[in-house]
Amino acid sequence: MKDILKQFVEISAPSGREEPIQKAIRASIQPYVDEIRTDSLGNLIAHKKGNGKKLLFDAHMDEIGFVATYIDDHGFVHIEPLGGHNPVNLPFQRICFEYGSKGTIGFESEILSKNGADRKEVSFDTLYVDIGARSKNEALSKIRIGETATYDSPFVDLGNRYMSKAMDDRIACALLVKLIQTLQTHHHDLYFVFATQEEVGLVGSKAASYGIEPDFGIALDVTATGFEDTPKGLKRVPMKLGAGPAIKIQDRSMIANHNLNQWIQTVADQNRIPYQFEVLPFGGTNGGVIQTTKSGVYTTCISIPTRYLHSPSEMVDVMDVQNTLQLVKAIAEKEIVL
Amino acid sequence: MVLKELCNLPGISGYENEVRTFIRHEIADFADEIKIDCLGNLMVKKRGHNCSKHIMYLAHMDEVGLMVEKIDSNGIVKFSTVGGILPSILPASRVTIMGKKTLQGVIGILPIHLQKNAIMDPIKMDSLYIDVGASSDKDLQGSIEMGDPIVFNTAYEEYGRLWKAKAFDDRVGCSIMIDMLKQNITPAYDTWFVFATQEEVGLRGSATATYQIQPDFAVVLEGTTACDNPLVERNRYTTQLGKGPAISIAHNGFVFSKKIFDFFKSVSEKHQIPYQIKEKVAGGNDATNIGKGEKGSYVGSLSVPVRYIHSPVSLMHPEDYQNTLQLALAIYQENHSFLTL
Repeated sequence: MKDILKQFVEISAPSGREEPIQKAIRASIQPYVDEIRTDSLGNLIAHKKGNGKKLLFDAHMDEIGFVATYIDDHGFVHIEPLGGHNPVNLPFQRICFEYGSKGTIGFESEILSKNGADRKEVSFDTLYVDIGARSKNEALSKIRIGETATYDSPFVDLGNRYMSKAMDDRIACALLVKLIQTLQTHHHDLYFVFATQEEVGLVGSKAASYGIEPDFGIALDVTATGFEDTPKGLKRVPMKLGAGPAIKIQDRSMIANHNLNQWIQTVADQNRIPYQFEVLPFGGTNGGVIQTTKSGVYTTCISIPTRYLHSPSEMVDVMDVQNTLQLVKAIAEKEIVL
Repeated sequence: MVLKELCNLPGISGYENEVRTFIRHEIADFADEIKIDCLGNLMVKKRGHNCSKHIMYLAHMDEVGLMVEKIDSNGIVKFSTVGGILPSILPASRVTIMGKKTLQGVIGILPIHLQKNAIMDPIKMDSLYIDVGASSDKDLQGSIEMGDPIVFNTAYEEYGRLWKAKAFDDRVGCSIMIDMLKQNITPAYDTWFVFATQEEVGLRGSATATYQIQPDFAVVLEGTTACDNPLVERNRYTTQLGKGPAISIAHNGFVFSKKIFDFFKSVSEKHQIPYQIKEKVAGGNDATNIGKGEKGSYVGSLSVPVRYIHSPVSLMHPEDYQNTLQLALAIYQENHSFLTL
């Protein structure tokens, strides 16, 4: 599990440019599935044939990133966000471009002289990337306009926890790959969607789910942690690291199907797998678009609690990862009866 | 070219009928099939050499504008905005109310002498109204009523080396598609030209058009923000007038496929048509809906830069029109090899 996770999180593949991760996932699961294809949005869709109803598992392949849009006369690269960034967190982060150029994010320092240490005016208008170019021409020889970038932040094993960029949502990609590789028996007709462009608006999953028309949908994604987890953490967020996979009750994109959640709890209890519940007052997942596909799908989301979301240092707990794998495996083996 | 006529026509979101009637008349001789759906989309088919794929070109007919909300007893017309308009740009604008009768009006506000903090206070919709020269609501009975659409009273004219009008967003796309149809070229694949409704209020027409056509590949032709005003710093620009059609990398809610991005660039370079790359990802258009509609489809967005977009007066560059038309025509005739991969 650790090896797959390390491989996946270290691949650079922001929204809309998921091909590198798509190829890695395809290579890891091809021998274990009956059918595998990609569609026009770049979604990777794998099918493991089974009886009766269709159960769809979804994880998104994309990570948040950047795109180069303009190189100024001094060779600084100006970027725009792909997915949800808080610009305040970006100064001095290192990033790596699609074709290997690296750099650090700087910002127009004069905004500090106006506001002291206040960084409220840090925005994509005042940020730039310094790739160490001495001139515009040198920069243009290293970077093409339209080239994407992601955090330059390798996987770190902290013992009981893992830390990296792109845990959101490669941790779920790794879990699904492991599930596909190790699943011995299963009941339902299983579809695995490795979706594109979740971070910009649940794009790939919507189209993939339309084509599949599943009966049941389970999105796997990460979720935030709160006051029980980190010093003075978010007050309205009860989730924490180490307490097991989080079964989604609701977020801004959906209210999960209650019956499906109850069935999942029964499965977890029978297998003595710990779990927690998730109510997230912000954010959404592909579950939101799977649920409203065509005439509707029984849908929920199982989340891996993650600290420091959308940063270069997203952190997960090893036990949570193992317990989530046990839970999705137990789900895939059984017949869902609601 | 019928850009002038198109821009002068009134057609806020949901009230595109005059624009639709005009376009239908213009393209009637060049269409193999014409459909209008219940959302008011005008869909024009051009049969191709090959009917195995469906290609769609789409521009929206609607413009941002205003709508009558309430007529006060003193004859003052209160209004709401339709589409994204900053209230602070509205005072003193001349408008036309398209009621049973067509009435001219001006957007009024408290005179500067009576405002304590005229510069500091943001202008809010509550303080704005339309003065049509009436002294009571009785004067207006039978001529205008709640729900009547209101457009900016701006006539098309040539303005230095630029063109000036309201509604370049997106009559410029409509005009380019009309010019494409009038070339009467048989495309490689069956192609639908969709003149869509209600983009400005949430990409609505394009959603139902996409469902009906299920395109394998679509091109959205738009008017987009040109943030190249003299006072804006270079790295804050989105697009620039006169630099050619703007190709989008990504925008609100969608990242364009690298295949399409590279395809547009290579066609431009092959035909030596200048182009620029849109430098901001803010804002969005119908391409988002088309890209993730149904099972998903390849989509690209080509835009004509428009300065002072979503205001009573916008400016654009004649060469950008010609170059966008040339690029769209080149794409139209190109073999879409990425569709068969």
